[in-house]
Amino acid sequence: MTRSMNTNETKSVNYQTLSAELDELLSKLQSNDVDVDQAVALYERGMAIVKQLEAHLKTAENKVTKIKKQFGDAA
Amino acid sequence: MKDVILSVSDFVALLNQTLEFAYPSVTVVGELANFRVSKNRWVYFDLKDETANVKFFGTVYQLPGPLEDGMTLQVRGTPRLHPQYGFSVTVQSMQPMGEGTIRRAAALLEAKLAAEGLFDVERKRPLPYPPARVGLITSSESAAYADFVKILNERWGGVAVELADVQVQGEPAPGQIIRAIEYFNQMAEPPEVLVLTRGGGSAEDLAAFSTEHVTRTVAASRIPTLVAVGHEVDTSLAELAADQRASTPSNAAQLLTPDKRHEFERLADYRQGLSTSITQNLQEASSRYVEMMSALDEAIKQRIDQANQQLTADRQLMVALSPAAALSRGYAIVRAEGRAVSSVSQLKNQQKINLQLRDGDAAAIIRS
Repeated sequence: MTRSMNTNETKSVNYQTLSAELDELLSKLQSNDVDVDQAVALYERGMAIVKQLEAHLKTAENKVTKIKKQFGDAA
Repeated sequence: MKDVILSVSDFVALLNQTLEFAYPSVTVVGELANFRVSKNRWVYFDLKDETANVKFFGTVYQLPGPLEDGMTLQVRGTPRLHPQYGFSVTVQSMQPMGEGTIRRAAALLEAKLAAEGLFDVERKRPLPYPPARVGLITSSESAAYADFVKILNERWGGVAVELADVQVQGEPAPGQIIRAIEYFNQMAEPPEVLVLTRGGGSAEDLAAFSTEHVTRTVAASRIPTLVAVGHEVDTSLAELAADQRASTPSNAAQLLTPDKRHEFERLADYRQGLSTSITQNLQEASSRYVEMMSALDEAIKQRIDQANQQLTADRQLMVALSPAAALSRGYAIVRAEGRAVSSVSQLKNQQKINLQLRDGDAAAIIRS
């Protein structure tokens, strides 16, 4: 059960994409071009991403699968 | 046998049958001589030692790379007596042997592939960092495999590694490595990066990583490549052709992934940054609000003052215009039959009128 949950989580978190979104979001928040409502929304989204990424770092495991195909003979 | 008389053709056929039965395949090591390529397709050469010299025949597709006379080659092939041209060995596979030859062959091949632009910096693509899916090409029993996975697990999580278990040395190695690279490239959803790796070894152990076909296949991979051969002074040609090279299998895992611990720190920085920014943002918004409130206050006060001044002026005007004011200045209001009189035409002789003065009324009679 735990194993399959980890797998799902692994699939749902694209660390690179979320990390890039976080970066963009923070610089937007720092730019002062946003009104209060937007700023609060950005802050909440940013914190949610940070939590998601931290959870990913804590729980995600690597998974090695050996390919069944044999490479010994030209197929 | 001595009683049997054969035609020349039958003798050749018999000899070939015997050879085929006795030596379906032989492996010979010797010094390359008289090497030549015909019509860009056929390869003829001899292998020799101090006392003997044997002819070989093959195709350019079997060449491990550019060759020159004097190199030491190991050739596997089928011995055969040609009806017209005599004895030769038909090549099945060939590879350079010995430190000197391997280096020389690699140098020739490197120059050739470099001239074609296979190692150009402009061809290098960035690797995903960190990747979600990795195609790993190595031997599952090697220390290289264990090291790569160990370091990957220490540093990062959530990576799906698909392992293509291949031989990384010996004659079958190049073919297996090539088929593994092609297998990943033909997948409908290929991994984001290919890692081709093995530990260190002798020049002969590492030869597979410098063959022309392997090098070309690495260069042609649609999937970005990372090639790591352990602790070597000389860089293999596959490493040169790769988008990135790593010094060891562990180093390959390091190059692919951030360190979890640093990432936790980075995320803490982000958390801090977000908090600081939102606090500043709210403070600025609140100070803007305070400014707006005081501006509003000021505006309202001004309006009230203005209204007050207007009222005072109006009151003064009204006072000035009131009948009482006129009476106090000595004017009188004349009334006849309760109505104010403003013209003599309204009056008759002997008519009683009423006069209103500042401090009271008086009656009077009109004469004439």
